[in-house]
Amino acid sequence: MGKVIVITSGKGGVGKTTATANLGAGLALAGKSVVLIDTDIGLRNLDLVLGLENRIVFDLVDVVDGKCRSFRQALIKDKRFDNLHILASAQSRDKDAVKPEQMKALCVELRQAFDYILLDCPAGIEMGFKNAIAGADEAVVVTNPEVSAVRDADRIVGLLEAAEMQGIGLILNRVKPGLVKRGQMLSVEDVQDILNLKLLGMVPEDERIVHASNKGEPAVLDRSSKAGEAYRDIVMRLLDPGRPLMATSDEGMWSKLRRLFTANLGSQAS
Amino acid sequence: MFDDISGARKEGNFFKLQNFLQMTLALEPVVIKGTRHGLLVCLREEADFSTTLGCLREKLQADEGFLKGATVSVDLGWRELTETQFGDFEAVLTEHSVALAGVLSTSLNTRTLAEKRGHKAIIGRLGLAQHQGRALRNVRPPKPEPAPPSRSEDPPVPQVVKPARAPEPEPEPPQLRDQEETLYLKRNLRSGQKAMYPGHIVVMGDVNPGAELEAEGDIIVLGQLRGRAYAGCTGNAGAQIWALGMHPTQLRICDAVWTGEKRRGKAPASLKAFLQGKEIVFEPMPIR
Repeated sequence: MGKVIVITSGKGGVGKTTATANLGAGLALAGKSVVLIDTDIGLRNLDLVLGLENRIVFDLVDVVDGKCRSFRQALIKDKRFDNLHILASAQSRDKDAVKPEQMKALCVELRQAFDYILLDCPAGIEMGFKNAIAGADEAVVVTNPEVSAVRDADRIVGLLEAAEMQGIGLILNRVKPGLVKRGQMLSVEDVQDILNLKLLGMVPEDERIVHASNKGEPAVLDRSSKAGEAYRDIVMRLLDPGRPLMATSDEGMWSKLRRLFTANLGSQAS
Repeated sequence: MFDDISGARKEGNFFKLQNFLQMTLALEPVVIKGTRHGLLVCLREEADFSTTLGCLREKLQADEGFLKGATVSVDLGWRELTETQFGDFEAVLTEHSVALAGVLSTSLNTRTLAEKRGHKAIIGRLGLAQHQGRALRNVRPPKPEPAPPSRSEDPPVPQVVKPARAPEPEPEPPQLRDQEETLYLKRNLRSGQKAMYPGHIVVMGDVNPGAELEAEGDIIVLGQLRGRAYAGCTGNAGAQIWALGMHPTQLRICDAVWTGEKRRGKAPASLKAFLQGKEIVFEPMPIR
């Protein structure tokens, strides 16, 4: 029996699609059977960032409308991985083309066939969001350490809690540890003060993400990408919830030593 | 004690606590009250639901001659019901030909469920199931209490507390003043959530930025108040706002507005806000 996880955020552009693609790819690398569904109808881009755009014949709307025999016809297998499939969204329709009950029914079907079903939720709180959460068991909220992103994430969590979603996790994306240290960016504590969710991990800002999207290659495949490394760590935590968090500062060894000394001085003074 | 609630307050908190502890020893899960507006079925939240339904059935049976064909409202307080439980409750009422006019509940989930099932729902909690020993008003049941008199009339311990309790109905039970009714929210409020109440609001949790509270009375936040709070919204200039972490984006009391100028430095964050003249002023909460 599979798990259906919706990846949502409220605010647009915080990294939901990137997270969906990378988490899916990471789970597939870990040996799971995964299907990714792009529920952003009318503004599809999950297939783009995975480089599978050319192979799409049927999409999500075709599946729920019954234009293709079953979802298997519409799924595209990503040849780079053993068991990663994608169900793309429709570019020429809009969010009213699908109803929550249809999404629920589709998720029930997919649960029989796959270990993980990841739903890439569109930005906003309207029909697209309602469709995406309809069939989901758990949610992952992606946000940036930035006030408007956190505010929108809080709104989304309120809606998820009202929909009685169990298991809401947080991914803090596009973190710049240097700015956090200088007090110019919200720290994870500031964010958690408001959101208070189970932290799945923090992904640093990484120039290589843009390049990866353009190439159509998820960052988890790139060994030199820090974001890729963070996503791989998050995948490990999805599979093993007790795993401790990875340190994400770019602190040098010297500053770490200094912190050690000042901590000792502080305790002596008191 | 029931004759004069304010009297009990003067005695101090310890006396009240003692009373409360003694009272809870012998409380009924279901109490049917006559109010100015009609019959009110009060369900005590702590009791297990199937026991409560059983007790309700008994009472409706006992007073069948009187209650058959009547219309009641139900006070669920903070109890949350599932669809099945609500359905069972409706079934018990229908069995005895009692119609449901509406539901009082402080739980949003329960109110939504009630509305979904075609009943009117209002936010609130009268909690009359706690106030045992008061008789129905304006109605003449066969016995003074709708329950078997022995249970609520002389429970062993509260006898000490209510010395003059005789088994005949009180002439005039004290009115519940609306200003003292309080909405308890035992959770955090997230952005976009708004609570409005014609009384006081107490939040046992945080109020995140983007969340709003609007009360005719006071607002008390036992957590971080980071959103908006509007106390005394119908013109009560004596309303106050207390918060353990006072960091609101905006405060309003009666007609005055305070727009959040950030307080810097190590100023204490546990503050109370109240009107002095036409301005909202802050003082540290009197806690040591």
